[in-house]
Amino acid sequence: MNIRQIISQGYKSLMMHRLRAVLSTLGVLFGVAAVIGMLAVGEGAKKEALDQISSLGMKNLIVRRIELSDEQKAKNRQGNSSALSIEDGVFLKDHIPGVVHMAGANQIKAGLQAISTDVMPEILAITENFGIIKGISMAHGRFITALDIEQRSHVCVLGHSLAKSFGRKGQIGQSIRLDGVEFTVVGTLNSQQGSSKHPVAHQIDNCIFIPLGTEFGLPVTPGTKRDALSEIILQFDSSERMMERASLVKRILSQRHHDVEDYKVIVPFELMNQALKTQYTFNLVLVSIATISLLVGGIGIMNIMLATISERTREIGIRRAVGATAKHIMSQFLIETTLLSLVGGLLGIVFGCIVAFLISVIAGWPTVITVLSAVLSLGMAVTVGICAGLYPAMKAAKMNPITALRHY
Amino acid sequence: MKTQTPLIQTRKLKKTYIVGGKDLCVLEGIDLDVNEGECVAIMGPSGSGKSTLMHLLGCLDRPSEGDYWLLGSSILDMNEIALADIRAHKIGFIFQAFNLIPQLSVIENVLLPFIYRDVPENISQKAVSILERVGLGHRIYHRSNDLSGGEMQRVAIARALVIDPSLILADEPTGNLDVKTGKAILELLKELSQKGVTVIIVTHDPAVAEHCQRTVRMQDGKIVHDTKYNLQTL
Repeated sequence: MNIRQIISQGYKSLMMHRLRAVLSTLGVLFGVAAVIGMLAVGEGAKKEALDQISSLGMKNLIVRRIELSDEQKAKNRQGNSSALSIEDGVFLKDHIPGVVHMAGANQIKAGLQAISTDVMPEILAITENFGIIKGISMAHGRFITALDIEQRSHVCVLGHSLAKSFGRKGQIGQSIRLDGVEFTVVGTLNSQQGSSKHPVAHQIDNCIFIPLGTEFGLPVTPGTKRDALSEIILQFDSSERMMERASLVKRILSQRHHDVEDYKVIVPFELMNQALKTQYTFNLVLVSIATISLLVGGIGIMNIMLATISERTREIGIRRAVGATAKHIMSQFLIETTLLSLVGGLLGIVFGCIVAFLISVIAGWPTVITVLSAVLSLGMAVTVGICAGLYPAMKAAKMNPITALRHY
Repeated sequence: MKTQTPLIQTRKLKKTYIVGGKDLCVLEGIDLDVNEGECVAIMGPSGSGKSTLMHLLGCLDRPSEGDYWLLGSSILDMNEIALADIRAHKIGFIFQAFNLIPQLSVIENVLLPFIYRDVPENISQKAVSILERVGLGHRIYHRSNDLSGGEMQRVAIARALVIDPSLILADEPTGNLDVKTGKAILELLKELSQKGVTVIIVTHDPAVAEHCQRTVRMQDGKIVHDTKYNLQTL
């Protein structure tokens, strides 16, 4: 059977009724566009969530101080727990296998003088490994060192945006006042790549780093002791067995803090898995909805093909008379419906990309169009076309040639 | 005496339809022999079974009883695919209503059988020369529904000829044409039979039958008269 001829003849038949052909592809077109649009939104949301989490560090475990409720504080007044401290950090590093770096940080609330009010700086008193773990790169000068911490030097390092907003006053050698206490700028950072909007993350670009211990004289969160930390970060050699390590951390701290849970352990690796699962379900739901419109499109094609075949009964008889078998007739009409849904699918992809683009521009939602979504939806469209065409094609094939020839 | 095997041989050919639960016998046992190169008219009133006989001879349908040998082979042994193959290689149909595919061009209509069978070399050239022979060389790429009735019937004849058929079956070929055009078509068919193609024309019109050497009359599903044997017995 000459496929090329059948395709070109199929094309001609469709062109005979142009409006009808267009209308019958509309269902598939919109179905495919919907699948692409929905997947784009889903993938965009997924990428955003994953980016946020991955910038926390897949090899990291973060222990965060949490504020106790009044009831819990009452229990703790006996001084059972001495809150998160650098000693905790050192202990964890020594007793958990696989720790490559450990850093502690203490978040300070203080007033920064001489800056514009639309910059909200984070003041972090840190240990020297904080920079390594966070993957910072220096623009000028140096980072906080172990010596700074030992000597309690009043030095500071500025994040990129903060340094910019200080202008001349943010250069190395200049002094910054934190609640009246002077700190000398010894370094400024490059802009942090892929900065996360995750609630747990620090906005490095807007941070000012001072050595841990120099925050005396600055207001600290009441109820905390000296050398207290708001955060310990452990960086491991790999991202394997994070949950195991997390439970080890919890056990150690539970013992050290005498069962007082004034901390929480955040495992970015686990957050990532959860986010992936959530996004997968989300995507599945979206695509299922879009698939329904695709199915409706298929019904549209079946409807049109049944009408078309009824009109072309005589043509079927003629073809049979010149040597077509029932199988030939069936193939012909299956090819025609497949053509219809293929065209609808391709147009739907174009349309879907436009829709995704418009969504990202108008609603501001991130969208990601993947090759997979295009291939998937085209595949679905073609499958729908073939299935929709089966019944009409079989009907055409079963026609008695003689009655077909007598048809008006 | 002719010693060759007849192109067509039927023995006690019967066709029965079931209509509304009852048997309707359209052909009551046809014995017909047609030799190669004959031009036969099958005549009869409406309901005589002549069209049904033509469909059976053209392998478009199967007999309910009896046998039919075409070119020496029994069609009872053949399945649907084999019958379709015969139609594509050996049999050309010409209908009263022309039966061309409207959205295709003239040449595409003529080459229609080759979608369903092997394609000989240079077939397009052959199709063009056949179209020229029937006087349509100037209309090759026109859409078929742009043509007049006579022109359409000529395309149908070209379509029948392009496969080099052994048999041409024409069902009221001039029924939708005016007298003059009809005559021209019949002349064309006669010419073909003179060249050795077997032509069978089914008609109710005696004037059409005049063009053929042999007339077979049918009535109520039976052959009632055959001029071939009439002449012989004379």
